[in-house]
Amino acid sequence: MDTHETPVITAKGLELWYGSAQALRNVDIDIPERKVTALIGPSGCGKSTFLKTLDRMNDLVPGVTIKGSVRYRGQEIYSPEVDVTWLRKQIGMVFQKPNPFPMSIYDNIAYGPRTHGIRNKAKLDEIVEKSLRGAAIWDEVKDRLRKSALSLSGGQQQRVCIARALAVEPDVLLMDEATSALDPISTSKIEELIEDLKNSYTIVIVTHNMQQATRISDKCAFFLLGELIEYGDTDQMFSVPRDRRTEDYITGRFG
Amino acid sequence: MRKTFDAELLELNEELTAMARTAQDAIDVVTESLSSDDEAAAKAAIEMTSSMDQMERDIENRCLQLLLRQQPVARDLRAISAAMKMVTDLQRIGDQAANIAEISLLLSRQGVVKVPQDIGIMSCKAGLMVKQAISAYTGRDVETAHAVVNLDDEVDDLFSQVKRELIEEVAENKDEADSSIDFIIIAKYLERIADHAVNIAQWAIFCVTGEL
Repeated sequence: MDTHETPVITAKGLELWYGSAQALRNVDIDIPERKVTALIGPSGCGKSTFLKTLDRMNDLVPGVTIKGSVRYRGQEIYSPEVDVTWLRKQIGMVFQKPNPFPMSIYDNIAYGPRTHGIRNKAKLDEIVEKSLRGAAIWDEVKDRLRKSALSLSGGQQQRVCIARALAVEPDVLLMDEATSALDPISTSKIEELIEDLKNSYTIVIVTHNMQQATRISDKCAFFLLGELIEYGDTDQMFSVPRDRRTEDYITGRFG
Repeated sequence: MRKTFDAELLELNEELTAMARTAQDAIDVVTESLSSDDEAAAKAAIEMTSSMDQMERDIENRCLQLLLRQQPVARDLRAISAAMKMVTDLQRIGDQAANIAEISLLLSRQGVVKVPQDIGIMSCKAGLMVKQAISAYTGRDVETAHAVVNLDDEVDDLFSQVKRELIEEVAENKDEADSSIDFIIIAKYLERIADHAVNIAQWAIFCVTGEL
């Protein structure tokens, strides 16, 4: 990793089991600040599992065992004194399927800040506008903030979900195949949005779309059978991958 | 998986090999025309190289199709982008062989036959370099590619030698200055052909290592 890249998240010797099935094997990785890091690999390779360990979403899975270290800005996130609500405020998640709450667009965005104790109407208005602008959807919804978020198209719903994640002013944004359920136009809007967001946030995406990984990520990590096989600059990985298994996967010689 | 893509990459290799073979044959025939004062051979060489323009377009077209449809990465991306670059070198080689053939036609009409021996040697080496450079590419063979790069020094030395000899000849025998200058031009074309073969060899190396 280049010396000017400060790691925001550092995993060392990370291992994870679902019951007796090992899903992550000795993963070491530094996620750099204000870059887009893409996690790629075939289904079941552990990339989504890894993403979920970063904001402790795997805690909810029964029978899960996690070993090793994950540090967020130096803080061991699996340490008992860590407040998971605090962690998830710092590290937001956007999922594959847009999942707005069944409430108005406004309330979707205001939900997080309200949970964190903000009650002031003017302050909430400001956060809602700023977040929707940040997610490049303000112009499309500003006249119907009181309408249900479920009335929006899939691409708009996904951007509302991104706005909802931004509303609590996170540091890191995790996206689990955030565009795989969207049409090409919505996808390209979200990709452009990711390009903008990386100026202010550290972004980690999981994607099955190799072209998307090459288009928008700075760093790329290839997982296979729970192992991190190769991690490096995206340009390098897609032109001269170091590991034969990476090459076979990205060129479609696999499976 | 990716049966079609692999088959198309093989076809691309075959097209490049065919084009390289045409270039090499043209160089052989043109050299033959020089030493045997054979107008028909010179015309045949020009005819051969004219088909190379179409070959170039076909290969470029195939590469563009592959980029569009397969969106290649890693070694596939390197192979296709290298092919797009080296096809231009092959086409230039064809042009230069045709230029030599045109001079050869003029020379034979003037009844000049005494071609410097080193030009024949240069021509053999240049032709061999073209053939080896393409086989280095299709066989992903870095060693052969380096051999081509090294051969270039020999061709450069031969060019310097031919030039020296011809300058002396011009000094001694002003009446044949015209043909001596034509021979220098031919030697220069052969030296350029060898340079294009080096470019192709370097693309073959890029294809394997990713190093430009």
